Amino acid sequence: MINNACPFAPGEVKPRSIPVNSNHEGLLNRITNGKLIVLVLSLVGLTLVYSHSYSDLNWEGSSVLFNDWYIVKMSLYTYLTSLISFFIREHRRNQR
Amino acid sequence: MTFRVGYLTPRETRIWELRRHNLSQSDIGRELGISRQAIHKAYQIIDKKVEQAFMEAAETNNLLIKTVNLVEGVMNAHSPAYDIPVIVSLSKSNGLKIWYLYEGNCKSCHLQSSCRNILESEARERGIQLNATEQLMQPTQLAIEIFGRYQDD
Repeated sequence: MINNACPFAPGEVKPRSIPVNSNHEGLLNRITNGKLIVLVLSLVGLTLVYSHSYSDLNWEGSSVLFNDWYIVKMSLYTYLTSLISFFIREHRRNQR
Repeated sequence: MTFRVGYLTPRETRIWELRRHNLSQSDIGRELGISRQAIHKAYQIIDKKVEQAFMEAAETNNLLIKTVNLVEGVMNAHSPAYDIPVIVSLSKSNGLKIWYLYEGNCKSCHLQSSCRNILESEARERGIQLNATEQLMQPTQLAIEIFGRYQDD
């Protein structure tokens, strides 16, 4: 009685590695897909451009980006926005 | 929609998955927010696609088909080239995989951990709880523990 099973045929040359789908839970895959990264980077970029060109504050020589946790707050806001938009898209996709 | 997952769309894959967990058509319909009739129709499409994927896998690998379990995604076949039984599995996490039934030796194989990961995800997806003994088994033996239950003889 055979009590073994191998993905390679007898005598077959085995590759150096075999692909394993480690993200079967899908979470990592879902939060790091290309479109979402582009969305996050665009929003962060736009935020930085906006803050940098906020002339009234810059005139006074105060660095807007480093005051009052500005970057942290805006990054958090951007992240939350993109997360919400991601879940909306997921919901729509599941509805189809 | 690729050959890897039996040409199933994400929605069809989800239905196939729920069906494998013994949910009724009405329950799946409720879960996905669609009618029972739509689920019934989806079943027919899914069966056709899964069957096609198994046929193509058999043809590509020169296997003689013995039995096909479309619900569980397991095909029992025979390889005339090696004269050994073969199991072909289809799952969401690993796609189509061929398992040759012979006395393999995992101890000298550098792919042991990859095989173990594949088999653990197969068991998880199929709702199979691996006990302590099974978790310590070599992948070749674990494979037969998982897929052997779908064998007819």
